[in-house]
Amino acid sequence: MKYSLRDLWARPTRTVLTILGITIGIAFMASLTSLTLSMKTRVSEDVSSLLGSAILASDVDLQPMPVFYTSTIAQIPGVSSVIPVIIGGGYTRKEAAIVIGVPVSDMASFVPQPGGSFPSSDSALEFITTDLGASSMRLRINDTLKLTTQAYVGGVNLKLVGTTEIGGFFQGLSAGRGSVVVTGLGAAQYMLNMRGYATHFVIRISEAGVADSVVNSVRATFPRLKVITEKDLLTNLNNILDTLDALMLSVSMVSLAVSGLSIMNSVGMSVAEKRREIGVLKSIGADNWHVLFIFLFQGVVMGVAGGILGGLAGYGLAYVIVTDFLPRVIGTALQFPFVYDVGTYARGFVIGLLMSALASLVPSWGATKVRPIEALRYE
Amino acid sequence: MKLSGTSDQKPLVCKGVSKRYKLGGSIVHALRETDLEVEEGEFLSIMGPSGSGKSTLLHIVGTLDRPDAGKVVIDGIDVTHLPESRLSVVRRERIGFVFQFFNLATQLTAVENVSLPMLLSRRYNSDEATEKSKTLLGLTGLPESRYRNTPGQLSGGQQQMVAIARALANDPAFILADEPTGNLDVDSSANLMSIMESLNSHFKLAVIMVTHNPDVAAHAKTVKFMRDGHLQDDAPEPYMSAISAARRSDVSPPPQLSAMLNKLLDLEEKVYRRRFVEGEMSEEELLDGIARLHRRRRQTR
Repeated sequence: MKYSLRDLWARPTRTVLTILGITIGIAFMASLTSLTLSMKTRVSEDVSSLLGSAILASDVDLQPMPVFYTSTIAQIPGVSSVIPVIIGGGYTRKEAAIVIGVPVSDMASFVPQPGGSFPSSDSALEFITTDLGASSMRLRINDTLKLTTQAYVGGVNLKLVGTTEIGGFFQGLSAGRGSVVVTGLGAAQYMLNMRGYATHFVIRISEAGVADSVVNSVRATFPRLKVITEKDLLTNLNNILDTLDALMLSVSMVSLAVSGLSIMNSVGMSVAEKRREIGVLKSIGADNWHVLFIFLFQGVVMGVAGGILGGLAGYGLAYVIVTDFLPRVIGTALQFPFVYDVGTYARGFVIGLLMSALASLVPSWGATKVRPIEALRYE
Repeated sequence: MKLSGTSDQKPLVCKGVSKRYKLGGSIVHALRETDLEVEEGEFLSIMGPSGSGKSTLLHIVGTLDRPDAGKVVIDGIDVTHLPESRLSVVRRERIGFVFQFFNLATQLTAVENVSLPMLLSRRYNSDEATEKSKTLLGLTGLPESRYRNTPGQLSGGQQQMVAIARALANDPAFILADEPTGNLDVDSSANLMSIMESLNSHFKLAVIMVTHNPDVAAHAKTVKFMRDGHLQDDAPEPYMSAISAARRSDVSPPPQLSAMLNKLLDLEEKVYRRRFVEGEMSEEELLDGIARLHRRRRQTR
């Protein structure tokens, strides 16, 4: 063991470069996996905050639906409440905006308490938005926004009454840089010319267990309704993310394979340089296992060192990407929570270790084939 | 030396050993039915011109190569057809190699180099191996201040002292020296041969040495001559005259030799007892080993 370690430190540049290669491979893998995990957490949080234990219903062709459906749906056993919602579009002077109309009485269940206040009534031409939206539109509370819609080409003046941090209902619907305008349901119906209509119904259920029966009943009663549950949404989104995960893992594996080749090269060079010394060791009684151990141990030591450093670097890299790089590149609206799973790191560490052992096994095995007569041949 | 050896057999017996090589399109007979017997305490020097088969014989005797025909018996063990895994044990425990270019592990200190065969054999623990290494290095005359130096920090003569101590580490049946002075200056050569001679005459250690140098060969009790794959008892006249002229009779052992040997015997007895306590050897092996050590102690006195 001592012989093996001394030999490793006798060529520090090569050893450090090899460890650096493994570090990069492991860090890459750990940070990419962590990033995917952050995305999954974010999606799960979004869907949960969007729907909670609720069901989202809309027309199959996204046509507006009469608000009176609400009372019919509310009578289905297991339904605790039904909230009509309008999701539409408009334009500010600068950019496209998403218009969300929610009954003011239900707004608090979707959106965190804003700075300022909620709109005073359903029909008041008042709105709340995200902090980022307010900043993007250069609005402060009590300022007025002119919003152009298909129904009002000349624009409607809306007063900003509150702003909120990212979260809640916004989180699911405000992805991207567009501004979000949340008004009372009546104001949205007015601006989008949908009086008496809603584009979606958020159906809250009494317990998760009745979700399937409620979905079936809604479909039976309103065949034109497209019904999405939290589970459906999560499954669909997770399928997409799993594909992304697999892609990132493949990229990481390529990086790890390159690291493996670097270990193989390093140990291989060591074996080539040490042929005479291997012969000497064999002539003084070292058997094949002793020789195998010397070089295998070197590979494993480099793997462990690279694994530990790679784990730390991966943590740092994932942290920087999630908390600094992504918000800067794609905006706060898509900010991911930083999630660093120890299991992810452990997986990277074990894979790195196995890869190091495997990569150094080939040249180490070659070292056992050196005949002891090599000790004399170089004379 | 066989302080703790388990055999009373002759250190080396070669019978009818032959070896052929293919060189280009022709076959070279490197050894032709060569016989060689080495007794305990014998100091044999093998001389001969280049290509005479000396090195081939050395490789076969050292179990680094296999003969095409004949038999090689080391310390009572027929090694002719032993598998490589068992040959490594024979090399580790029965043969001490001294090479022309020292061949020490460059990353290890003098003490660690000597400890290496002991640790490989697993008969000694780390402390015992270190203690014995220091004693063996003291035996060769290496200054204590050099014990922690790596080979790169030692002179050629000092490196060869370490190599000799390493060769003695596992109490071999014989030392196999390949041109041991070939890379040393005159003074270092003389010092080295004095050490070898002392070990041979006072420890009854069998030494087989291959050399071109008549001055070096003159230190051996027996000189054989290799020619065309045959080992001859008498060297040709020019060689014999040179050897006779170089022969000396005044080999005085270093004053510390007896004390060192007693220290080694004490250490071996300690190792025996520790191994017995830890269940690594039976009571019969322990008693047999200790009896050998006592016999050796009496011989020393």
